[in-house]
Amino acid sequence: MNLLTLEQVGHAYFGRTVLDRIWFGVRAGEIVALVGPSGCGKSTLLQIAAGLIEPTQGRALRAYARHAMVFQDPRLLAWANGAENIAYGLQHAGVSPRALKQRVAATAGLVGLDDADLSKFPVELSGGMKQRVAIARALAVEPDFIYFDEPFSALDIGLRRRLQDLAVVALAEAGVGALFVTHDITEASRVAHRILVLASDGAGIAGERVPDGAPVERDVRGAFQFAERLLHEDPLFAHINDVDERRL
Amino acid sequence: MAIFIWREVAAHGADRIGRLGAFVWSAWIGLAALSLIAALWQWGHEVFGDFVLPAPLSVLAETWTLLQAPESWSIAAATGLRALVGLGLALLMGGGAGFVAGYSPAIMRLTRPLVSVLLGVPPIAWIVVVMIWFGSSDMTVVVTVVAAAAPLLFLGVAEGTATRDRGIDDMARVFGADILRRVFGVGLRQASAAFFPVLIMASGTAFKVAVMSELLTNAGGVGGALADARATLDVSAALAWILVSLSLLFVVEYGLIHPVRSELERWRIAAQPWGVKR
Repeated sequence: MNLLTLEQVGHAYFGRTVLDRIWFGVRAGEIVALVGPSGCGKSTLLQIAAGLIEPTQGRALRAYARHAMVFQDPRLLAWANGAENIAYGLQHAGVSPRALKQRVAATAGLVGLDDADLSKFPVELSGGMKQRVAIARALAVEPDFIYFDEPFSALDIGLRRRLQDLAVVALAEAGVGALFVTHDITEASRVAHRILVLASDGAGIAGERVPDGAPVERDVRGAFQFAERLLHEDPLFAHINDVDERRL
Repeated sequence: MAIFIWREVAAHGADRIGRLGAFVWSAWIGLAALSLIAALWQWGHEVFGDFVLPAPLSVLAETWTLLQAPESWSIAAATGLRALVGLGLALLMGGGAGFVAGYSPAIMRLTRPLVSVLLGVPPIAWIVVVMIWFGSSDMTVVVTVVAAAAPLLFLGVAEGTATRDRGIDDMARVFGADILRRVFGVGLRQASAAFFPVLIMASGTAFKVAVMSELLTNAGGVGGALADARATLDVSAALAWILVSLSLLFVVEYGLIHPVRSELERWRIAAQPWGVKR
């Protein structure tokens, strides 16, 4: 059963069409990576899927109970410390204070944050630590579905790999579905069950590629080789690194 | 459960006492700055003589004798109350309208010119008009204070709300925060960054305008006492009353505004480098 289905979705900003005829679904426990050249409308599509933007055409069907999101920038509350930020989504879920504290501690451990980090404000945390808090905030609400909007693009390579591994393991353990928007093909090859390529003009899904095995079983080298093959040999990815931001 | 709550309260309590201690300790620096002003004042006194500028110590002594009399306290309380009521009303009206305008660009565009007009009218002009409307009463002083302070608060709150990070709002929506939680939990909190500097400015304005309005309308209070001092050419008494009205402002600013601000903006203090923090 699909947790998320986008049916014939199209969107236009001030009369200019940025997305058209998008149709795909994400099954339970499946991570789908959505890739495409910079400025092709990936983030807009993700926000439509998450219900932050109403599409001008088509609809997004959400069959899950609760979702969460990890944004490109951490979007933490500056006035709340690490623990309070992780608890933000839980506060709206009617969890008792004691259970909330336990859940925060458990998810913080999962993403490698210790007690000292939890009592710090976002300004006192490094970029990687802030993004860990953002991931923990998403996992803490025990969602059925998580949206990732280029979550690791501002981090250095080593940290990005660590957080990718962490996200893959956490998603597999929780068995949740995820839509992972990225422009990094290696990242998509590492984390996803399926890679969807958005057409460069936003007119539909241009195609789909499936890396071997489940994401948890993959190693970095295999993912890198798969990505290299896609980038150099696959015509579907020929324009993936073209950048035309003026279009947006 | 009880032990759990007690542990939480104890941890927060210790933290709060620590911060309160640091706040009280920082009074030494304030005292140093005040001593500098006193030194300049003393120099002026030695140059110009006792009649033009009495010595700071003799003014302090004068203030002390003033405060021995119970009626002085009621005079100061009258001014303090008028300024505070005016400030409170300005906060409700100016701040409230500013918050709404920060969320609605249409209201912002409509109210901006209105605020410019209100800011441009000198308080003295308000005093004249309001005195004709209400006579020499509390109302005259309060209305003048509101007219002077509300536009400032409007601008501060509107600017703070309009420049909020909308990404945080989206985040709150994704995590299931309803409109009330987003407006009051996220929007208001972000507006507070621009709000507190303006509130400090507005409270200063409130006391200044209250005293001025009292002096010109014969409505009693510190302004009335200043008018009496002027009539008898008693510079000492005038300066003593100025000290009293300054103390009122200090009580409001350091007893109310700064503690609330430092409680709400602990994260900003955490971000400060060590030399700035202490």
